[in-house]
Amino acid sequence: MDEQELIRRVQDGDEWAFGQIMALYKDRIVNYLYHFSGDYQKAVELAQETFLRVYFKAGKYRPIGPLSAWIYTIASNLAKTDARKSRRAATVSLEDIPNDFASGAYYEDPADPGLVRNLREALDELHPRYRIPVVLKDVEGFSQEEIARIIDRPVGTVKARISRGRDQLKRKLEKALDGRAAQVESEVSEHGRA
Amino acid sequence: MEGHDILRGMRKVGAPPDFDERVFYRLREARRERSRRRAVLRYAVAGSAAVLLAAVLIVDRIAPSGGWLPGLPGRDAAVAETRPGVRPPSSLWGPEEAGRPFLPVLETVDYTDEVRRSAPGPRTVYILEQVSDVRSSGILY
Repeated sequence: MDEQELIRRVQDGDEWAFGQIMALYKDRIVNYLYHFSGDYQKAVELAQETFLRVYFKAGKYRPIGPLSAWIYTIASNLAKTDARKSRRAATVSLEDIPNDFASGAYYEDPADPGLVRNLREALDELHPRYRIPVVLKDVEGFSQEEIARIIDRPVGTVKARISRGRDQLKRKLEKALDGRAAQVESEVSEHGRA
Repeated sequence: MEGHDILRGMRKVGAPPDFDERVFYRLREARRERSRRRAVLRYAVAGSAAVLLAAVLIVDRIAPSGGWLPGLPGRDAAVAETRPGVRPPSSLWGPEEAGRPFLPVLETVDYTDEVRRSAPGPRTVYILEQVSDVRSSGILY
């Protein structure tokens, strides 16, 4: 059964079809939201909320685009709203946000070392305006046209945002790598003196 | 290495094993909450409508100009139904209206269609001219 038939059944309240759609997309959505938020628990929570909206808002889906784009649109909107809330919370206390860049939670993850960890941090610092298209393009592998449909912006805007996002990431990474090199150098010189 | 190249190689994560169960649980909860809200909304709408209707009826009864609702005769309606210029019987007046001034309601009545012409000849047209400089004071019934 294809996706359009499944969503049509969901529109009629078919839970089995909803389960099928969830099985198709849950891993991708959790992965996308994880790379967006940097917090696995939050990603799972947002993904659950995404699927709840898929179920309750199925009637609003129009088969003019692929189902994946619609589901990613819901997930992106939820992630943006959540990021806005997190930013507001961060102004109160940065320590209260679990697994945030400042809390040092990433440093505890052994499967996320070195350069990737720096990239994770750089990604977290990126504004959602750039983070969403960059993650959709470079992590999820969507085309620029598909991203334009997901974030409801012209393709030109998507191109510009991906480009600017990548530039910002590159600069942040270079800065982080320079910092690390300097730290390694100082450690080496200290060891040499000892 | 470019940032976006590394992004492709970043660790992929998946949904936890109990993801589906949790979503279906939340789905049931959300449904229950929605039906509860709908019931509350239904009662709220019905209650508001009842309160609004009661308020309209109360205001209609106590309004100084009398009733305006169709089918609900107000205080002055009985007066309007009586002959113009004649004070209605006191039975139609409440004790509080006894001292108030009486306002007669006058209606113009056209009887031209009610009167049948008896003469078979051509219709006579009367031209009425004012012959006196004294202004008429009107017809008294």
